[in-house]
Amino acid sequence: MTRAQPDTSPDAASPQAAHSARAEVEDLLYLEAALLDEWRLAEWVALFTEDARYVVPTTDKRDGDPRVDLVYVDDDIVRLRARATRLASRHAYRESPHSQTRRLITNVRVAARPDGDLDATAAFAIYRFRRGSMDTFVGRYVYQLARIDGHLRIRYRRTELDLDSLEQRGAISIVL
Amino acid sequence: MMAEVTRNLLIYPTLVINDGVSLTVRKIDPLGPDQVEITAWALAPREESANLLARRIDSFLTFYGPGGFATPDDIEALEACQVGCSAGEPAYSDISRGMQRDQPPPHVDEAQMRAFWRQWDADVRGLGPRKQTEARGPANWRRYMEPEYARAIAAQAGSTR
Repeated sequence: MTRAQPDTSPDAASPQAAHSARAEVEDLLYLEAALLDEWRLAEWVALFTEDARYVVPTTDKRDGDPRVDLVYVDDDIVRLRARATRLASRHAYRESPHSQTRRLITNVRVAARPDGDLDATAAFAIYRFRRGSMDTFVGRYVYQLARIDGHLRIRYRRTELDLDSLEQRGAISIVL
Repeated sequence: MMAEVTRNLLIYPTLVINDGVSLTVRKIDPLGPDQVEITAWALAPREESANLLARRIDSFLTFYGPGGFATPDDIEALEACQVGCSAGEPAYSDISRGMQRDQPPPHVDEAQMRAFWRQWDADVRGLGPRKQTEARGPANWRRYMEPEYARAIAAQAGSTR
């Protein structure tokens, strides 16, 4: 599945349509960030389609393909639900009690796809605070968004980290 | 036959081979009293089919990987123990899992951790290499544990007096 960088607006002939598409995508991304920061993980998972994929490639191979390259996270909807359930339980020790996080989402760009879905990219900074220390995750999101029953839903979500390595804490225990 | 066995192999002191759901080599570099760097490699045969490789990668990342369902919590346990130990209070760390078994322990037991710490203890005392053997079974466990435990408790009681 190739996802082109959204270099063009969804409808170059209509700046209003482009703005409205971007505003709708921003609403979804901001809602998602709020749900994750508030640890409302079941509601977060409900934003995904049944054929969804959540991928976090490694810091040394940001274009990694999970089929042939080692990545940090490669969840289908079943594992995504398991991840959310586990993180909300007491059994995910690194997040029990869970960390305080704050996600800043910006630089949102949107482009229409021939199949009717939307491609979107965004920049993020995620701060994670726990037991007196702070972790910072910075990078770029790549989304494919589907419109289902009038609502935008996440079909594909890829988190590309700008970090050189995970050295600071050695783990990804939150949803990035 | 090799594929029917899982094991964690420690090559003292800083190399571990995790032969479990995926074959992993871990190199351990202690950087200071409160920092350790672990580099992991996931191994696969060069000629492996795409299907098996995909399954192998999946097994690694869901369990051994830093974003998986096990490793972040292991790191949390290590860091939490470090915080606890830095209080200076604990005289004893319990890694006795498997000592009560009569049969050779499965890979989830802690024989390799005991072997590591016995040799580490000998090394920091300057005693050199020791042959690592462990008598098993409830009777041996009690014989081994109780004097140690009693000494530890006595030492702790003495230090707080």
